[in-house]
Amino acid sequence: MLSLSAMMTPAYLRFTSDLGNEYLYDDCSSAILPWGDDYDAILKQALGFPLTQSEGKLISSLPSGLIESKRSHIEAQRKRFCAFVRDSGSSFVSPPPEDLERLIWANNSVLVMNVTESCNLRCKYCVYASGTYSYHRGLTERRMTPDVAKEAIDWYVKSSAPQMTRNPAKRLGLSLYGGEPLLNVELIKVVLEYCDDKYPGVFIAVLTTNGTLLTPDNAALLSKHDVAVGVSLDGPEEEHDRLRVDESGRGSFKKIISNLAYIKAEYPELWKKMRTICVHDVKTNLRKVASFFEDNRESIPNASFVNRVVPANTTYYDATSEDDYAAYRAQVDDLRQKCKSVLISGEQPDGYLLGLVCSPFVAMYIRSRLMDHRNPYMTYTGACIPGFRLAVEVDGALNICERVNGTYTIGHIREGGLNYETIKRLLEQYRDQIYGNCSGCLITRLCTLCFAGCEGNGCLKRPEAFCESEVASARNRLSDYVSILEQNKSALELTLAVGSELNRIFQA
Amino acid sequence: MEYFRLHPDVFLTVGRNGSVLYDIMGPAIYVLDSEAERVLRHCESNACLNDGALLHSSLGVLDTLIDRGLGQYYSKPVYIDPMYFKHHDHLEPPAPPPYGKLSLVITDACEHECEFCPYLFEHDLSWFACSSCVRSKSIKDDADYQCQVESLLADAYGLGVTWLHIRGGNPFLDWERLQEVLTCAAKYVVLRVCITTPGTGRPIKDIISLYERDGVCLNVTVSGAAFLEAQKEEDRSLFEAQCELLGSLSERKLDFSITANIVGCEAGASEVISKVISERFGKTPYFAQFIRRSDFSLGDCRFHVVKNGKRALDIWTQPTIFYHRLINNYCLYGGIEVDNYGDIKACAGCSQCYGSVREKSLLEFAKHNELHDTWKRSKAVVSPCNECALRLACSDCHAAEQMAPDVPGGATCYCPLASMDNLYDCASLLDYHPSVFFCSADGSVMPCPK
Repeated sequence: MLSLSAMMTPAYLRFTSDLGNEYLYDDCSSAILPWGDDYDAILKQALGFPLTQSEGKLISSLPSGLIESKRSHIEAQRKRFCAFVRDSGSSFVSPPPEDLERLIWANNSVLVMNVTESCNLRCKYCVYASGTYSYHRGLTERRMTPDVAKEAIDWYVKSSAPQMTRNPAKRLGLSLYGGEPLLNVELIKVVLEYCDDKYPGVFIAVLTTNGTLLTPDNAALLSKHDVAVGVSLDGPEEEHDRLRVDESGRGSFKKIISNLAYIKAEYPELWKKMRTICVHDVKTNLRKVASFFEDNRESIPNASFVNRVVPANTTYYDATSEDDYAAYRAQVDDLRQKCKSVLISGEQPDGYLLGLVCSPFVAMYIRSRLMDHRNPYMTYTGACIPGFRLAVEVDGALNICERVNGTYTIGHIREGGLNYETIKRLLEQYRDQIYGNCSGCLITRLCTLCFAGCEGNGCLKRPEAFCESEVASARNRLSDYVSILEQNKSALELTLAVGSELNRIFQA
Repeated sequence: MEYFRLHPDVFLTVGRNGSVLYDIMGPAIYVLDSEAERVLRHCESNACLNDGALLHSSLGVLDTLIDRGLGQYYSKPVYIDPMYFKHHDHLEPPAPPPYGKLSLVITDACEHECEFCPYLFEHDLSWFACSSCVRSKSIKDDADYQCQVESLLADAYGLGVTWLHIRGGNPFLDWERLQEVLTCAAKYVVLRVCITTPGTGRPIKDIISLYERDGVCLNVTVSGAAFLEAQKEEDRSLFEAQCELLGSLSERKLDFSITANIVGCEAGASEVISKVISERFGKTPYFAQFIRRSDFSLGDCRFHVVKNGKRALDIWTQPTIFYHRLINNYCLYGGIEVDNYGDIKACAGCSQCYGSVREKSLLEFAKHNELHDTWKRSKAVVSPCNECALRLACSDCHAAEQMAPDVPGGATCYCPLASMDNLYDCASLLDYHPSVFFCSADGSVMPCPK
């Protein structure tokens, strides 16, 4: 029997592929191993865990040679990779602020600039405009001034200097965000010209827009400064206009399509770097949306980011029935199977399908493995260290990213930039309020929880039943991943190549 | 059980000359005979063991591999997930290039005329100098370059360099310059400094005083032959001076290493030298050698720690090194050499010069990718290595690779296995290594012959 301390708890998850093969995901090593009931019983026996009657029976029915070979495999995995069980007493390392500073500026690669808090649309799911997200601010008329923007850029470049020195070929990401950023196009012009004049070649600029203000003048500006544009487009007219409306409830689809047609004709280089960002809710007809993007490849930019309306801290889904959820799940399952078939056949699914259902497969493919370095200050969940991605608000306040509600600012560009003591306290708060039983979790390397998903009002809180659903989701992701690769082991390589291209353009 | 698959930490490499199983965590390698190779390729394609393609007598190898913890039977075809790092190479994140080591030659001057010194030979001499002196015969003027040390080290530190290797000639002969470099280096707390020197040219108390600076250690180059009591009489005083210094360092428990040049030594000499040095100074030495182009073309290619005139295997000591080698030249990766004239190379033994710090700063130089391309020169892109099943257990020496095509018969000299079609039959050409085994289809496993 393997010798274990009392603090050791299991850290593995069993799942089954579409072909009916059983596997085990070992969270200690991130290995995926072909598995079975016999292996499981032998593992439990080897670890000294109590066996059920049927497990005991199973072991006694196995030939001794087979038991021996499986046990030696298990022991080798344990010895080589510290597999299967984790020390649940692992402690959190409190970060020294100076180490945080070093870590953050070695990893940060994008500054999100919130150039305005106003918007010309009133999308029904908007965290700012819909009124259904209790912890988010509403839309305001506040706009970033050129002074704040320039200070933010100067501060960001200065702070990134060690990283730029270390890698002179590196370029920093500058994401222009809002509200609707083109409502403050004067500032955008100032920012882009300032960057070109003072920091030529340093930034890769990205703009996220609702697409209604992509006028000829604005397109010319974005083209001139080589900006990659992400346009929100949720699907065909009836789907898009169901949710993306202006103050008087009018849809925005026609205007966007007209603007896109103009850009494609007049600014082909800008067009090449355009992508669509798609949001759906439980009532979206996903099949129709997928067909829309598939059928209009020539006239609609490739769909890159496909997200569901954020379910945390909102009343948005209060009116959604169980039947709606069931229908939604059936649609997603259907498209997931379709996508898997396409990948197994060696083809590349359309961008919308890739974003909707493929990203988990790719995430599994590039998951953190045994020899990948794990961040010592954020041992569990998928949260990054605050500061790895930065959002500067209209007044110069610094936030963890553009997705958080602003309750936890981590500094201000006019108050010395990032406050590492604050970040340290935030990490400690995350440990105290979120970690809970994380050390006993079966999927610490696969968990997707981050700050944006657990913000409360002045506190951090794990969403209700999150862990159960996350484990179930991880099991599905693992199963899909293995099911695809069981049948075509190079199925995800093309998808990764697309991901790589996206990464280069949008994540600088 | 109808299927067999290797475990995720076992890597099967097929080459023109046969197949090799790499037990990454072992570490160990198994050279397969042709039938064992056929069996494993069949299994790794997820084909059934009972489909009639394999002879029953050939399946013994599978039981052997199970016994050694390298694979397992399954009742169905299964997917084996590779145990690589996160696939950074696919996503190409904007990670900084991992500069780690800077080798800085501060002088070509030396007071000795060691028989292995490249300075004393004709211009066609090539030198493999991982941890030894790199004195070269050149007519370039180094006067302009000498003033740039401060900015050079600042740039290197900015690039992430944490290990500075100061070399010569004998750096002690330019004591002032050495002090200047050390003073500049002292500004960077994380920078560790190693000075490679014959250990002469200054009084021992001066040399010991170098240790007053944090993070400094010496690497003393000695003649391996001296420890075999085989060196010439006129070299005796040098050897005695070196032993006195090494004794002082050892007595004071200071951090130092010893590099023994084994040029001209008989086969097996390295073991004897290693034993003598360990007993006397408590250190296991590194070894260094050089070869001349004339030796190379005559087939007398001798690499580091050569035994019996055979190609030495260079088995990874950490799994990370193995994975590194799949996509990089692990030996060069992260290293940069600035010679006495400011010329930048991947290493002292490589002939290719990428530019000069006299013309542009190290930072400007780092914006270009020539050096990084060399770092990524894994054996998968080096011919004839990319056809060899043993490529992942072999020296990454790029200097040898550069020289090989340049001389008649170079490829064969670069690697004695290059012309071999069957690794298993050519076992005698492999260097003995305790982690190398020969595995046949019937399941028999033999250690590599000594």
